[in-house]
Order: sequence, then structure tokens, then C-alpha cells
Amino acid sequence: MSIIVIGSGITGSNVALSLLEKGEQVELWDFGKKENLDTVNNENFRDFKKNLNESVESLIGKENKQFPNPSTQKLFEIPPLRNFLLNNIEIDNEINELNNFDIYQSFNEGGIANGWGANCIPYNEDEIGDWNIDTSKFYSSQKKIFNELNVSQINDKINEKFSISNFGNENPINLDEKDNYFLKNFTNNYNFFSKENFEVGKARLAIKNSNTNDSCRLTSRCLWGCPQNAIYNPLYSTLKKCKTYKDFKYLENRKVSYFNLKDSKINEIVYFEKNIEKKNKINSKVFLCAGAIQSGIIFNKTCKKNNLKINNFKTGLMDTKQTKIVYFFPKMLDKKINYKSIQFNRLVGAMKERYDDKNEYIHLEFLHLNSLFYQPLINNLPLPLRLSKNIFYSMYSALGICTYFLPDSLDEKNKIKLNNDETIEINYTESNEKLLLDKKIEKRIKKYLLKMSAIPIKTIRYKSGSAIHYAGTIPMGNNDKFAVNTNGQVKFINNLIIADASIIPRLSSKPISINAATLGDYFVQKNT
Amino acid sequence: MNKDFKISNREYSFLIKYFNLIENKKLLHIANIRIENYVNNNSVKYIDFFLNSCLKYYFDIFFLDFLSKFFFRKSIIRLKLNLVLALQEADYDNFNHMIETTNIKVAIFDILKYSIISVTFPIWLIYKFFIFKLILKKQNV
Repeated sequence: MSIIVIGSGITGSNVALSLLEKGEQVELWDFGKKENLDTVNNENFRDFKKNLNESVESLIGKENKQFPNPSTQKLFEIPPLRNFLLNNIEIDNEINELNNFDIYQSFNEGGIANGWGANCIPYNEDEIGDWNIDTSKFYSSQKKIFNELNVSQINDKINEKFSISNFGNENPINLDEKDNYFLKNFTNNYNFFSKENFEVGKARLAIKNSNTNDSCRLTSRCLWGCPQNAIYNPLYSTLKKCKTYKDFKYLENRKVSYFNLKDSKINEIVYFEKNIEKKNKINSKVFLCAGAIQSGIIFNKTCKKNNLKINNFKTGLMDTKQTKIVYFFPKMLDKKINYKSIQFNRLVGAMKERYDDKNEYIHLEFLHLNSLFYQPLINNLPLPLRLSKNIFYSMYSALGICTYFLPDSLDEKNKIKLNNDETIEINYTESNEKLLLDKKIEKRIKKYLLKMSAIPIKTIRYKSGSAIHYAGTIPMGNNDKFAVNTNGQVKFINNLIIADASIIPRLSSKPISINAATLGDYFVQKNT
Repeated sequence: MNKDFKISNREYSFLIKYFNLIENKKLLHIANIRIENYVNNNSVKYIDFFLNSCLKYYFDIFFLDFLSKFFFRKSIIRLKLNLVLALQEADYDNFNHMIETTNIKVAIFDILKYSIISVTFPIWLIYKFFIFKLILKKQNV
């Protein structure tokens, strides 16, 4: 009998592969929208602009529809050519009210990981210590997933000082001149930073970088679709592997709505196929991996349809709110731009800060601009456009962006709510403690940047939700308040395992994707 | 009131000169499609008509850029300025031209120009509004 996995994102596809490796039959149910991405053959991002039609369509959108209206505050737009994210209209059809929360979702084959930033930092004792899980099994899942995702293996002071394991099997991405200058300035002041417990090191990225045909060729077109598929994407990697198994079935066009229960088991899956509601009787295990938002919605609907009181259980919603600090290196002013590089950050930072009675790891990414579409950034400078353009192009070789992510904890006020009329409402309020944490980190980063001879220019704070690190919609725990136990098993639905970020009870600042996939693999090992 | 917000050839040549870009009629055509879409799908305000009527001479763009950045951020003139720059950035020749021709001296000279504009814009604005009203009166709108 086939085990059903719902969702094909980074977690769903890895859960499916782990089940197949254990000899199980797997049916993967997925909405499965296809990304029609023609990866053009030009060598690098600059040359990519030679074909004007292609370039305008990719950067500004077909018929320029995605060009932002006047006064938009958006800094970087997702490249319009790529449709791995749902647009606002599609989200509005499903979520009727959205309070203080930006939301991004994907119904694509491969999920939202079709366009992620590829950063990976493993959870450690600090994060999983109070989850009551089998830590040795979790760490072996972690090792397996880091290899599956081809994460670069790095051994530096970040590992040493913050107890970060050096999992992974790939070579690190090469640094460019600005990255090296940044690192040099950091090392020259190491005594100061060491006392502050602040570290900088190479980014742990899920990008193939060995001397194989499918490795990164540094085309600078990461966000516009890597022509090599060198950046980990479940679609071209894990799902492709799944499809080689005889016991694997990929069922597309299935958007799961809820489950009908009988005798504390899922008896029927209710889903939409091309907007038509259908029901499918089942008698097998289900691994729900639709992503924290969708899994939360499916769980809410299941409770409502089966007259279970959701209020009896702890539910929530978390995201690692992101803040960006734009900085400037005066010494890098006259340097040439390297057009053959990756678009992602090649350096990361680590530090600790007190939040919610805990010393939390704070993850930072340092991005040195090489090949982006700069107009949104130019428009965002607080100057007339001509002056912004002239200042930007005369100094962008010296610009950098530090992004930091804030941890989050469960809060009664923040949750997905299914109203009586079945409309969905998402409520989110940032706690004062989180706002205070944001300010404290900003102050520290600005001090550190100045110490490294970089001048902080502007701080841009994003709404919660924009980091797309959603978690905690159906948190796990062992007492009666939690609907899911620490094996991912829903306590009152015997054949349902929730295996994505929805069950994470406290959200670290570390990138979530790889850690959610690890948890998925761990639950496979515990439940089969 | 003139409801045509498209960028005319004359306006386009002013904008090209203003941003120091290379003319490309194909990009002008693409920009005008976007402006037409925007005007058809969004409410056009009185201020849009007024600011749009202000672009008569090359130096007017300096004032319009300044005003639309600090006071009228949602105006169609802002969309025009942004759109021309964005489309030109998507073009290989223009992008290379932007990188090669921009340097810090140009930016410093610009700062001087905008310092003058920040002092003189109220006079320009009053003058332009007077002209706008006069034209409306003539047209009996």
C-alpha cells in the first residue's frame, strides 16, 4: 500500500525519497504548477541583456505588468519570468484577510525552493534541545540531508564558537574582491570581534561547486534560473531521483483541501483537481508536507469539517522577520564589478542576542552587489532619481547589504484562523520584545560595520512574512496542549504525520528549509 | 484636460538627456504600453494632470524629479521616470553606457543642481500652477 506524501517542496520531496529508500511505495500528491523557464544560453548576466525582448520580459515582466506602481517600497522583486511564487491575486482567493503579515507561497512542482537563497546552517542543541526528540537520529538525518542538498563543507570559527557541525560535501563558493576585503577587515580587528562574540565566515550554500559538468559556472544568473541547475532545487534533484523508483507515483493537479476522518484515521482526502472538488478514499499513512501555511490551513479545515475543536490545541504562526542594512566601503569605490559571480551572499555572520529569556543565535548574510536588476534599489534611495542613479552607479562597486533574521516564538495572537463562513484569516502582531531585539541587533551591526571601515547607509525593515521562513502553525509537543507529538504524529489521527516546518515550536534565526527537510527525514525514520 | 499620459518623442528625448542614456524607440513603445495599462486600471488624480502638463522644457524634469520624490510619490510622472530608467537598464547597450559614463564627479555636480532646485522649486511650482490654471480657463474645463 502506498504512503501518501502531500507537497513536493524541499521537505516533501526529501520525505518521499527517504520513504522510497526504505522500500516503501510512495504517491506524491502535488498541485504541481510547472515553471516555464527557458534558460537562455548567454554566458553571464550582462550578456543576457543582449536580447532586449527576453531581458525586458525577465526583469520587468510580460507587458511590464510586474513593474511596480509608483511609490512602492519593494527593494528586490522576484524576477517576473519565474513563477515559483504565487501572485497576490492567487493568494487573495484563498486567504481573505491578512493582518500585518506579508505572505509568499508556491504551488509549483518543487515548491518555493525553486528560488531560494540556498543558505544552510544546521540546527544544534540550542534549537532542538527542548524538543524531546532522539538527537542522535536527528543528527544522522541532518548529515544525510546536507549531502543530498550538496551543501558546501566549511570548517571555521563559526563552527567552533557556535557549535555548528561541518556537514556537507561540496567545495565552498569562491569569494570575490569585495568579500575578501570584508574578511580582511574582519580579521584585522579579530580581537575586538572575538570579545563581542561575533564571527564572519564563508556561506554554507547548497550549490554544486566541484569540477563536474553540472557545477556552478558563475554565470551570475542565479535568481533568473541557473542554466546548470547547480543550485539545489528539488525539481531537478530529489524529485528526479524519486521518479527513477518503480514504486513512486507523482500525481499532479491535486490541491488537498482537508481530510475526512473515521475511527481516528484519515478515511478520505478531499482535494481539488482543476477547480473541481474530488474525494479519494484511502487506507494508508499520510505525510503532510505542504509547507507551514498550507499545512496549517489543511489542519484547520480538517478540524472544522470533523467537528474537532481546534481551540483545544496550541496553534500559531512564526517567521524570521528580516532587516537589511545597506553599507558602503569607501576603499572599494574604483573597483571593477565582477560579472561572473553568484548573486547570493558568499559570506555569513553569526552572533548571539538575548530574546525571550534565551541566548539566540542570530544569522546574518553579507551580500556584495554584482549582478542584480538595480532600478528598485535606485528608486529606494532618498534622492531624486537622476541623483540616485548617478550616485548609485558611481559607488555600487563599493556597496553591500547585510541581512539579518530575527528568531520568533509562539504567541497566542499570531495564527491562521478559519472563520465560521470558512474564510481564512491570518493575524500577526510583532511583540515589543521582537522590535527591541531588532533595534539591539541593528545597533551592534552598525558598530561592527564601522569597525570594518564600512559606512552603514540605510536600514530597511521588512514586514513579518517577507522572509518566507514560516513555521509553528501546528507546533509539536508532548503535553495535551499540542496536537502533534514529537514524532510528527497527530495525536488524534493515527495515520497522519506532519513532517514540515509547521510543527517547529520555536523558530531560530537560522535558515529553515534544510532544517525542515531534516525533520522530515527524521520523522520517516521514526514512523516507518 | 489632456488625458494622454504617454511619453511623447520630445519628452523621451528630454528624459534620455536627463538620465544620460541612449535612445531606443522600442523601449519607448514598451514604456507607453505600461503607462496606458496603469492609466486604464488606476484612478488618475488632479495632481497627475497638473504634473504631466509641467513637462514642457528640459529643465522642468529636474523639478518634477525632485517634487515627485519628496512630495508626490504616487504620481504618474514618477512612474514615467522610473519606467524609462528601468527599461534602459534592461538594455545591454544602455546598461554598459550607464556604468561607463557615471562617476562621482557627475554625482557631486548633481548635488549642486538639486541644492538650487530645493530653494527655487516653490517659485517654479507657483508659476507652473498659474499657467496650468490659465490653460484650463482657456479650455473652459
